[in-house]
Amino acid sequence: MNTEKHPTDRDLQRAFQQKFKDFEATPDPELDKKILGHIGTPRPPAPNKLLVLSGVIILAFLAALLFVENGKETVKPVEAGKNTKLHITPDRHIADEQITGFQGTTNKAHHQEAALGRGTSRNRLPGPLQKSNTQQSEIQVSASEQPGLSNDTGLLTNEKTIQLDVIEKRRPYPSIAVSLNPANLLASDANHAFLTDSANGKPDKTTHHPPSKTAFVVSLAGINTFQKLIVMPNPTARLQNFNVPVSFQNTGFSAHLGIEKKGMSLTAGYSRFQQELSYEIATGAYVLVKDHLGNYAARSEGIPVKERADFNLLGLSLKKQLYFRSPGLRDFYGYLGVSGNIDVQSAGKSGWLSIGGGKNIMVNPNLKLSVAPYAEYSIGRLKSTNAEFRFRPLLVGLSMNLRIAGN
Amino acid sequence: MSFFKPKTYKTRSELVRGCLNGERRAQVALYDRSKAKLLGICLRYAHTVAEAEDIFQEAILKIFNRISDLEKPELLDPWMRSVVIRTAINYYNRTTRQELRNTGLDEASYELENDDYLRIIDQTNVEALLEIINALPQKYRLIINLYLIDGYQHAEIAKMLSMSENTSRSQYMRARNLLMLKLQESGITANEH
Repeated sequence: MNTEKHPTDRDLQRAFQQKFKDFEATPDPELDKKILGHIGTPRPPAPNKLLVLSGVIILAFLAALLFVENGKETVKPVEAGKNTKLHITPDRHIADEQITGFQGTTNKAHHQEAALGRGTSRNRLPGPLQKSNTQQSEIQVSASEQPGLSNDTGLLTNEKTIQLDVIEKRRPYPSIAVSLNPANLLASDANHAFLTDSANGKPDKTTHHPPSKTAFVVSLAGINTFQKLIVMPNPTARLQNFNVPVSFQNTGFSAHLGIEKKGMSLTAGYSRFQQELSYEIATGAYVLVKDHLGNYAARSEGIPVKERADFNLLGLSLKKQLYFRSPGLRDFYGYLGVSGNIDVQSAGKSGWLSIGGGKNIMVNPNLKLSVAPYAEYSIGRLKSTNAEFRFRPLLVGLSMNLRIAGN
Repeated sequence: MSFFKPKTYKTRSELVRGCLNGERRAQVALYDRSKAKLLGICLRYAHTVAEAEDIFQEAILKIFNRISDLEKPELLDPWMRSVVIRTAINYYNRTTRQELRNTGLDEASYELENDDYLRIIDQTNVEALLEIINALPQKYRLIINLYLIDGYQHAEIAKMLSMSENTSRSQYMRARNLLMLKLQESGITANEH
């Protein structure tokens, strides 16, 4: 039987459709509130594939650098002028040892070790080196055992005796300044030892200043946001009972990658955070509300709204690091910075001021890790998703920075 | 006060555009405009009011999350209706897919003439009719709603319920027989009063 063509079905269809044509039902007010609380809250966006890919590349790059840096010891001949002073920052356990001897040979290996701050080790370099109790010592090194090293090596050739001024500092991270004469010597990487032109041979306060070599910097920070909410004038609706933020959704992160030289760093970065707020759209209805004193007051009834604005900022940042001169604070630094960002979604531009500080932790001669609390304040206002609000956020975060010395 | 007069969306297109732009007021306006009708559909498809509210909530969220799928704003109402119906079908597929079994009513007979049924339907109020439909087994209820009230063809119903077209027809026949029987009982009861 073909039910679609059966007259009974047609009649039944017509009768039922007519009956239910205007059938409606009013949702329970509680259900209304529940649903209105949900709509308008955008779903959390899926992780950006490009971002994930960038993160993977950065991690792979870092891993590769770490692998390479751990596997090599870079030693380069450095041309230096007369009275060039070599500052050496040895490892702590080596520097704490009493220097009692120095093998007066001038072979390349020992010069490399000296340049790396290892030449003062008793085990490695036994010999006639004498060190006084004062912080400056004169070390006589006899080169007679291997006189006249080849010029090709770039090593000591002109004189058989060199004078070393040794300045040993105590914990933490002691430094040794060595003044060499004649000119040709070897120096290790600038992170570990670097040259100055000071001729007086005395301890130099600039020892703690950042090296002048270009370094790569990578930082990752977790951020928490505090915001000033600006409600734009809107003649079409009255909003009330703001609550900002309504949850812990106002957290985020930022990642930066760039270069640093002489304490100045230029980085490109991506930051992401959310602002969440709740408010009510006032209706024409009023309700009587009893306060804690028992007094009644008329209050406009409102439709509850919960909103979240997502910010994805891309930008460039310029920072100047300031190092402390005091030996006790030599690993600490502060910085000031400015940055310009553009919001990927709204294309809104904003300028930021940042201030922070941190402590450097040496991982290896070419790699420093620093932990740095910081604060960033937006000069401009950020647009929310529905353009009814503006935010002026203050970001407070803790960043982990890796500083990788270039060759 | 006119200064605080809520923004109005004069056309359906404006309303849809507002929702697409994530404007909260457009979403609230669309919800207020459609909620009663859509809840009515949910009540037809659901066994209980609580289930209807669950389906309604799920459907509304789907509507706002997927409004970008709507290609022509003029088709807003049928599109929303179809989202609600599909949500109801999914709801029952998820929860009680195994419920439908033969009810032994294939051969149920009803004795009234066609005109009598139409008269009963006409004289019975919507709430009572809804009660009769809600009392039907789940899959019968779905087919009665889809075919008799929402006007879907068996080919479409077969697709929606993942069955063959012939199964859809035979299920409908069984469902109609049961409905007629219930209407007959209802008519007799009504006449007794």
